Amino acid sequence: MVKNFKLVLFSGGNISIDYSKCRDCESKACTKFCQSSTLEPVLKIENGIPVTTDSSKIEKKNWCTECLACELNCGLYGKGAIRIELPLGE
Amino acid sequence: MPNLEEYKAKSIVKQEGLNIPDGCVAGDFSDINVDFLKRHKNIVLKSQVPVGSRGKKGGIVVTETSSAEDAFRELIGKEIDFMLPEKLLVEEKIDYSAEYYLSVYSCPEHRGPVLMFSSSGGGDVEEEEGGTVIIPVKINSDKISADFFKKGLSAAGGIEALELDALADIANTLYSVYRKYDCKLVEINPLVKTDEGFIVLDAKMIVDGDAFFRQGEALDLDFVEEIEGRQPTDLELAAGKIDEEDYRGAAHFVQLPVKSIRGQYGDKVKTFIGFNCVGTGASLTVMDEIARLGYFPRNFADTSGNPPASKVYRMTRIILSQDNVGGYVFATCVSSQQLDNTARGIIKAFKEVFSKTGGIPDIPAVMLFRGAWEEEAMELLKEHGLFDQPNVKILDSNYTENDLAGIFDKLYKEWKNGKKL
Repeated sequence: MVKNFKLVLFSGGNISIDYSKCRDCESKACTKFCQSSTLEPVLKIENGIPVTTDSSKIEKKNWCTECLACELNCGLYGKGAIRIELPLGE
Repeated sequence: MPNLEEYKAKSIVKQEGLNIPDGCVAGDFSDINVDFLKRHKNIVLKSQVPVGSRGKKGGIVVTETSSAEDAFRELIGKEIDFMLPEKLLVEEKIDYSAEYYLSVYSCPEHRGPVLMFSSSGGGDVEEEEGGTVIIPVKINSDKISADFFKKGLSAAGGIEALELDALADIANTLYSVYRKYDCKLVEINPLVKTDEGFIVLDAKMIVDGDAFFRQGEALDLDFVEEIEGRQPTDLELAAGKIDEEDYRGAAHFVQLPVKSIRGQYGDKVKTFIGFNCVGTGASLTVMDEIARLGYFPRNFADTSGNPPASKVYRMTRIILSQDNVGGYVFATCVSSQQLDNTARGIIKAFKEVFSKTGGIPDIPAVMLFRGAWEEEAMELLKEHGLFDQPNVKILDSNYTENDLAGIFDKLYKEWKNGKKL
């Protein structure tokens, strides 16, 4: 079984991915904006699922710019597998 | 600029060596120590709302201890300038023979701290002519010279030499509080003369907001915008957290007083709108234009300085969670920030708040995107189905603030007349 994805964000909150939904996804739209960014991408597709491009940078502050494109694209073109939790007032 | 409540300011001046009345702070009458009530025949109840002239507004009650419980219940339930106190300061009643005013504040004209003294304390003393003597304190001095202080105060007249020595000491203590806690203002009013010496009957402290990083924890302050004159709302406290640790871009949020605006403008108020902008200059123009047509901002908000989409999302959620909101307006100046990120933050918030309709709001909404990545922002709103829906109008840099106001007015009237989603 593939382990699900979770990335802690600099501003608080996290990105989580339910990999069970990714298997049936043909669009792989989640990584398109991230990969096209002039900044260093955070997500890439590997073996059909989105993973971090460099696992050694997961702890690096500000690596993910929190543009929210992965979640919005996954919701629109993919399977709604990505959830970005951004808590308020904590 | 954090404005400390009276009881906090008093506890600080007490720590620094000044005398304050015997007392405690209480949210309920049962919180008051029984021994305190036995010690004093007469007590003073003071509403802890950050409002000037509380006495004149019924926020201070002197009562016999035997009937204090009823007075406490009445005062804690009493709104003063639309604010309800969470707690009261309960103190012994002090008899005194004279009252003075003493403060140190950051004076823009003097470009430094200024000591202000008046030989007559009490409400509105700053407005009184005569009796008030302003003594400028040298910017780089660590201590107010006693001679300098006495020379300045001699103009006030009627103060004995012995008192001048004592007052000079108190002024120095006040000045050290001002410096130690990075204050914009520290004030004692009144400072009263009793048989046992001088006692601080009321104190006020306003801490410089730029010093929050080193005073916030020490003074138990919340990170909020400049809302001098009242306590922050829950939403303002939540909005303050957005920027507390995340330095990327800015998020400013202040709620405006619905009751007060309705009281002032009456029937001219058609509705209140949730409002966000990029650039405070443009926000002033937009607010002027929409208020002119009867749509008053429920809040001021600014998400500029190129914030991440997550910051815009959090701010939009807060704006849309306000009560008494009958519309939403977002506007940018001709901005250099990445407006596609801004749009993503808004889209995520709308999709969550209006989830049943896929993000299309059930209130009229107008958004004006002008500047860098404007076209990308437009494309995103189209892609996610938020472009020019029945309740939504999205505008680009061909439109002005005046256009936005007119379009919102038209949309609101259509919505009000039943053309809603």
